[in-house]
Amino acid sequence: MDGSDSRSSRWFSVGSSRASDSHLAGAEAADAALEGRAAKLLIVFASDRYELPSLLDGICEQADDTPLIGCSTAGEIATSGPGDAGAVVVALGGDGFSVATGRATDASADLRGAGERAAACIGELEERRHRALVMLTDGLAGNQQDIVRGAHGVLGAGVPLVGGCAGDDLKMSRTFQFDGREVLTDAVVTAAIGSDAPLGIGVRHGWRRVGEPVLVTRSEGNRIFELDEQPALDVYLERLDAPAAARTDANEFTRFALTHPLGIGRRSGEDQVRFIGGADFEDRSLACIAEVPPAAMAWFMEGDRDSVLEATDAACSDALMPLDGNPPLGMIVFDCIARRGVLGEGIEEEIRRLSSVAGRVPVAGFYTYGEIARTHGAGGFHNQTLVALALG
Amino acid sequence: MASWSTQQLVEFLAGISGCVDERSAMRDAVERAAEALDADVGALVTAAGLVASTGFPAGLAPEAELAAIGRGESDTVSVPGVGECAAVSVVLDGDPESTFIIAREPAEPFSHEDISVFRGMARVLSLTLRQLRLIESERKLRERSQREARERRAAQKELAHLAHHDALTGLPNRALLLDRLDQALSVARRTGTFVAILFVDLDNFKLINDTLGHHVGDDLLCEIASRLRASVRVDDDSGRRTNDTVARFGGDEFVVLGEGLRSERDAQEIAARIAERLALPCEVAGEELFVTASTGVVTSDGQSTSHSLIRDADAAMYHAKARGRARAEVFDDAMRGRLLERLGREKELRQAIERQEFVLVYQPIFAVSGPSIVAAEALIRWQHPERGMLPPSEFIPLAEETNLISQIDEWVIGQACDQLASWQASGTVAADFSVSVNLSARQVEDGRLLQVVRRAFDESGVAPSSVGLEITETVLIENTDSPILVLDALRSLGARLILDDFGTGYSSLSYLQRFPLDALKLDRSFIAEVAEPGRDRDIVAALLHLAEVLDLTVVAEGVETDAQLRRLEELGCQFVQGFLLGRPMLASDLERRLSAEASATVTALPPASADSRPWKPAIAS
Repeated sequence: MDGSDSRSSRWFSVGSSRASDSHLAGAEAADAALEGRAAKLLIVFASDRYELPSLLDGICEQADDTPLIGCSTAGEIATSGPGDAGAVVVALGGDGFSVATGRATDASADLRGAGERAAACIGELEERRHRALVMLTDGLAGNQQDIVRGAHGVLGAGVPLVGGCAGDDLKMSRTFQFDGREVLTDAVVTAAIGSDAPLGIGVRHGWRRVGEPVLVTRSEGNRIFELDEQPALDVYLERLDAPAAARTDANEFTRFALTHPLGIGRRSGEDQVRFIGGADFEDRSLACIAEVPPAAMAWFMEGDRDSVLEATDAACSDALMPLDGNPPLGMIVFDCIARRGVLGEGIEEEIRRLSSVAGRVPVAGFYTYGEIARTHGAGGFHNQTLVALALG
Repeated sequence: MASWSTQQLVEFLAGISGCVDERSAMRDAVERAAEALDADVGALVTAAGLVASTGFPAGLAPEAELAAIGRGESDTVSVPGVGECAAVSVVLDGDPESTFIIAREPAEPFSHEDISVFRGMARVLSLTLRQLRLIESERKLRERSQREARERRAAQKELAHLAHHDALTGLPNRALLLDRLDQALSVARRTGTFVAILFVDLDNFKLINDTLGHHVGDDLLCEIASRLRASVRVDDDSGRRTNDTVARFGGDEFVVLGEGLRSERDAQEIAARIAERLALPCEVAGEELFVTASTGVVTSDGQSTSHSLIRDADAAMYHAKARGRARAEVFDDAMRGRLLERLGREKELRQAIERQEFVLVYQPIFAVSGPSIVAAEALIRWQHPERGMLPPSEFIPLAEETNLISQIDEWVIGQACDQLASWQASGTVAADFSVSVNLSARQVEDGRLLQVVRRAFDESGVAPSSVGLEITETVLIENTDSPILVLDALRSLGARLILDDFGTGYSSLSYLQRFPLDALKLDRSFIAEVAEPGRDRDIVAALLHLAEVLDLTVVAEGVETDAQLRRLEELGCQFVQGFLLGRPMLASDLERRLSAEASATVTALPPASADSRPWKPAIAS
């Protein structure tokens, strides 16, 4: 459906750097992505080990203040593979793309309103046949589904929403969002992308139910207090036969919980996964990154290398479907940090598969604290899931 | 039903039952239903229109299309970026006008199971909305009753405030002052301190009020009030003088209550501060006004009561006025002596009223042509048990200060009418003989006057036209509006109005035209010199001429010599009063004089000439 003319007027490239100096890392990654061209949009994923303002200065100096959004990560993904403590810059340009960026600060005070404010940039987007909104949020700010609902209320069903929650290398204390040269926290940043060619989205997680379901008998927002009318933490540790260290040490618990999420049954058959980010050893509750509704029926879940990689393949083919067999210009992925935990060293394989789905295409993304995908058949906010955006 | 659908229904219920109001429940329901059923669109249409929707770009929900689906007239809706979607709608059974709608792209039609879950959600939503409406109406009811209770409390508080404060200045009123004074006195007795009362009376307020108007007067009072407040609000550091009360006691009277004083000097300091603040010019309504005050100061002793303190401060204030105003006087033993004396006299006066120690004497008024007695002026005397017969100057001022005057006035009118009626009945006097009584300015201001006069007429049965009411110019000057009404009313009872002492006051000729007068009495000061050629004689001549033009009867007062009488007769004056022809005398003496005159007239005097005016002027019709 896309003629060669329109393809030639759009480009997508990825640059990365592992330089230790913040400014240099920014400059290197931007230079690699831009190759001297003027871009319409830069999307930056970087470790919070960098001095982020300096990193952004390094990028913007190469890019003449091209619109830029980005966030801190729990690991970055580039075409060359996954990495830590680095910086990745996605650049897209050409007349075939149009871009408008937006942001909302103080998100935790009004999550829904933040989603609405950040998505309002869709109104400034130059008209193109296909549209999507990329959204990067602070996963520690509160129930992300509310942010998604706010944005969806502005966009409507016709504009898919993709993105992820920023990370901080699993410190779980503070994450950052970028808007131009500004480093924000407790914020939502967005880029509305219009394109002459289709934008495809795939969402898969690859987790399997383990044993019998449990009933969420008491929960408030993101916190689960009781499962089957018992303290939630005890039920969780017991049913999954958690190792002794995870029963007393918060870090050990998080490591264990990364590979043992909760699943909530959904109409589509693909359970909605809830990442358990922490436990309160005092009141025996579990903390999740998204709302777990009271009265929900939930399953404990597990995954292995094969199931996770199968999900990767499925997400890719879902994302490519709208492209009608044409190879994408590139892919942007929002991959849950938990999946990396399951894959371990096999994570290289995941990126290789993503990159080679249709010849060799540039890939960029980051390991997230939560994923966003609102399309047909995808409710909005996800955990322990891979969200892939294919740009046709 | 498969496990996912039960699951979704339960979650839907749990989700929207957490909503606190209808609006958020509607929005939540629409969003959660669309999310759970993978719908592109969710909407809720009620009688009020589209109340919630999801799936459309902000502000672009097609209300009309959705309403058509709600009415069952359509089953598709176009969604920007998605295309034409197939819709399913369910009427909420709690509200037949409300429809819950979901829509999805036609490639993926809703299954029976989807629709079953959706109907369940609609049922849950209608029950939730019904419950929220109930809660909301209960909340409104509760809020209303709480608001009403709040307003009632505020109104009660306001009323309590009004009952204890002066509406104009916001200062505590007399009642609150007395209450605080009682408390202060008991504290003072306990702590061995003093209480001071400063009675502050403005010296020239009445003049300002009369010349510049009530609004200026009111503004001035407010300004004075705030200055007085400021003059007691000092010594914050030492904690003293901040609790003092400034009250408005009456018209231009303020009272300052000082508490916790250690000596009389503390009270004098307050007085000095007040004087200092009042000395600054007041800028009111664009006028720069200078106000002074006379202040009476008193401090408490062991025997003080709130009544005695106010009384003594008032007395000290009067003393300050008497000593030239614009000063403060501390109540002292001399004043105490005078006050006690006054209190004694006041007591005597009260007893005099009770024991009916007053008598009326009558001074005859003569027609010059006779000269024959045609009328008499009733004058009060106090038959004091120890001091003998006392003239009005000895007790009327005290009676006016103590408000006993109204009882005395009432007695005078009643007594004079009774006497006249009895003379008329016995034939002692001619039918046109009249008696006049003096009305004080206070009486004319007193709303009861008309009633008092009417009762005296009714009870005595006297012909009202034979009663003269004498007023002075002061009555007319005090207030230009209300006297006319009162005088008109008195005249309509039939009484005649006489302007007394004409020529001593403002002597404005305009009064003669503006007020409904029948006669005027030329003051004795003109008459004294009328026998000699000069200015007074000319004035009398002019006044007599003017009276004739205005159809007013004229009586010359204070005629003491034959020469005066002759000159007055030459000038055309027809009626005279004075020691030459008759001093004030007891009723019985007047009766004798009248009967003697009657027999003399019959034998010696010709009848009154035809052109002489009768004493009783015709009442204007």
